[in-house]
Amino acid sequence: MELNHNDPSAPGHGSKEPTTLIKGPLHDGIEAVLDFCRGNSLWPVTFGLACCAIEMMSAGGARYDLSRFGYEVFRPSPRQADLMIVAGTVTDKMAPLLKTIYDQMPEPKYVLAMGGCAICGGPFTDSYSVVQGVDTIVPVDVYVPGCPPRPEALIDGILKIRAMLRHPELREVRFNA
Amino acid sequence: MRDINKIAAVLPKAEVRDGALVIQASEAVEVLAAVKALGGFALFDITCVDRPAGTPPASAEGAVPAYPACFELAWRIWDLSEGSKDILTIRSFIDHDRAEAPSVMAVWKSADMLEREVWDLMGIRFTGRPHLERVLNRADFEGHPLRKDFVMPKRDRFPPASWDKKAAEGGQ
Repeated sequence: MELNHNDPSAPGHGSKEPTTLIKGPLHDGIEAVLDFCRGNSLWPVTFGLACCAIEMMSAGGARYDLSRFGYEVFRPSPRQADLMIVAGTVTDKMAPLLKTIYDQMPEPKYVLAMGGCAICGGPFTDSYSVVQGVDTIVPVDVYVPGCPPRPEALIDGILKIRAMLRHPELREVRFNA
Repeated sequence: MRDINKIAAVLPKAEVRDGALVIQASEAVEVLAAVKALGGFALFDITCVDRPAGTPPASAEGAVPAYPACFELAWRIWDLSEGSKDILTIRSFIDHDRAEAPSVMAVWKSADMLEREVWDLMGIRFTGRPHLERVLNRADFEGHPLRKDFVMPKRDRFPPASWDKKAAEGGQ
């Protein structure tokens, strides 16, 4: 059970350890099983912002067939999703909406920054209205570089999240694809 | 295709220059109303260009007199009559220090968003219309970014604390 970390008076506030009902090896075992299952059925929230979204749609289509890994269930509601693929340029006007959608997703949730724009602003990084990387707004788990990345790269990025779920120690490792 | 000279003949105060009708900005409402009265026209775009002094626009016909720095405001009107795909352009030139034009929302309601966009990016203040607000930029954005004198604000990589209401209230 996650507690509200925004509330300073709540127990567990400020500590990195999530407060759970069960602790110890049993909890770790249950979480490992759940993470294994999650890794095989990540449900992304439909969040295409620019041309990267075309590649994302292509990855979901028959040719690249994201569904063979179990990730094709793009949800129209963030409440049903556990992975946010930020595919495209995030503008200042869009940033609060992105944050709202992220906040609406249930824990555990993962963010994949797809393409140069989502990673650092891309070619628009000097613009007056473009967010310089989505990691300034929400925590990002996996970065998929490219402009835009090919569908294979996106699939590889989601598989990196799967690897991270199966082997939590990989969170500390920086992948080089 | 309708002859632009014939259109200009029935309009009150318009001259044909460079394939477009040139009017005074203050007369936009009556001119556009007269165009609409001809039938078969639809306003589909309002654009604006910030022209620095002494640079006449490139023209196919040439011989366009130089004019001082100004905003060139253009209403682009689609001729939807049968067999036509033409676009009628109505231009006006506006002083830099009095960037103002009457709103044509009363004539064509589609002008609503278009005028708000021009206001947002170019800072042309359209008079006589409600809620002239920004469309593409955040409401607290300062300046009009497509103007030539726009100075790029210095940005931190991380957004200011006020970008998100919740962050401003001390959350996160």
